[in-house]
Amino acid sequence: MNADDDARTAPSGHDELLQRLPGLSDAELHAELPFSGHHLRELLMRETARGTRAASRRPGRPLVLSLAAAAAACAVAVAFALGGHGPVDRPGAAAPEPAAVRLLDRVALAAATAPAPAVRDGQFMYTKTIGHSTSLTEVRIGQMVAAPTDQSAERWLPVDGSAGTVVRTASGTDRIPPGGPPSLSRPTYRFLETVPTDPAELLELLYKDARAHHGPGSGSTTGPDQQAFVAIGDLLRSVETPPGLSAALYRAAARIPGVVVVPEASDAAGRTGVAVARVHDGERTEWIFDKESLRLLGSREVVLEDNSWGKAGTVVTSVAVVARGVTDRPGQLPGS
Amino acid sequence: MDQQLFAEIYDAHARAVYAHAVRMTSDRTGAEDIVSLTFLEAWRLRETLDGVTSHRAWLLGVATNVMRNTRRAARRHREAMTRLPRPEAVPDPADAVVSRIADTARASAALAALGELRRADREVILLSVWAGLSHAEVATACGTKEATVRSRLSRARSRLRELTTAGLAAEPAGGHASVPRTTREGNL
Repeated sequence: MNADDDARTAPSGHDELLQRLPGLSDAELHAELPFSGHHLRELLMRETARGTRAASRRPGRPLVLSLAAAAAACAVAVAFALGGHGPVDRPGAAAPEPAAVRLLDRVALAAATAPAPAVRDGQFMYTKTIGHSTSLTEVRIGQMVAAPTDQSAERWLPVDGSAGTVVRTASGTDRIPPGGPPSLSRPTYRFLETVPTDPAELLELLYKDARAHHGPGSGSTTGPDQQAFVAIGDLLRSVETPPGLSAALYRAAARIPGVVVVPEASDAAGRTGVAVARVHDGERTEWIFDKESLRLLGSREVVLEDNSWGKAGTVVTSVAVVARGVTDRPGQLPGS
Repeated sequence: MDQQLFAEIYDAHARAVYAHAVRMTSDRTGAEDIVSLTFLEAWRLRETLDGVTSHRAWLLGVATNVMRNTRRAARRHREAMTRLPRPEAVPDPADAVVSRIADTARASAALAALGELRRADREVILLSVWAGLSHAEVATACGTKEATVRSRLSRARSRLRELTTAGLAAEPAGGHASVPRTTREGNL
């Protein structure tokens, strides 16, 4: 049991919405509709006692186990309920800008020729990022305050699936346990080595996921094109991908409608480079590259039209990759 | 993860899962089913649970998945649930409970406003504002990106602001407007 569990995540009570829509806080709800959890507790304890026994689960397994299995099957069904196709020609969707395609091609070439990191199973891919994002809080009715949030983090991503990911930030260390099949949004290095490096095939994979979660009817404001672009950026920023995959990711990005070049952009570490970007919903998401090495420096999101997040020109998110490497253990720094 | 620790986790967080489920579904009996399915799933995934930093955030993520699936699995799950032994001490049949939520004027007004939101937006705003999870935790719980969480939150806030403003205008005698605002610290 973690002592800080409740303290850290308890509702702050500072949010205007809690006052505007009263009656539903945990305390208010429990006063009105007390939770009669004793019978559930008994049931669970009986069930879990059975679960801990070594006896195998016979065909005529208890009711509750089949319930658990039903819940599990549904969870799996969701994970695999992916459909969809790659980018389609939509009226109004701008083709990738030729300059962006050329830049991404050079970036891909540089990535492909970089040496692959030497890794062994059991080791971790270390990435250190610094920067900020923005969080929006309603402090009074209709008055939103955008406040910066620290996004500096050290991340240890497992080479194989035997360990989880560890993320260290100023507010503490988060352990994301292993479990479930690896995916592009929850990778291991070994998994990344198996991802197709044909750009078309890879883009199809990314769009499948983007459509499942951000397609029509999902309620997402992102949309599949932007989501695919963001997913590639997130992956490249959070882990050093195998060279072939890095190159394929850049080549896949070059096929996403609406990618453009921003000739000059600075990252969160103050380094200046050239950026590939995509504009969506009044914000521009940029991947910034070193002009010489064409290495990824970082990424940022810039507001283009005044909105709740800030005036035009505000950098709402900026994260720079400042160190990468391989370590034997989470918490360890490369070369130590 | 032994049974003792699991029981402690249940005691510490079952109420939070229940409250979240009531807010999501406006249905108390259904919410209890969701608590039970969530913890059964948590037990099945107990090796994962062992390594989790915030049990509360993780359990709310499991509950989110369970709720997304209850419609699809509704029949099977409901059949099984009705066969579960219900100790006689549990007083409220479903109808009485639902009407009690309706009778709770303040809660029902809030539930009605939340019910106007798209499901994905409702998930995000409830986890963020009412359950108090960080944007990163909400993103994990909903299986989405922080950027998406931000945009959904922003849209849900605007919509709820519209709805509550309209509600107050239509019902000037309603008690909501007079709810005292809590005193705030100088900064957030």
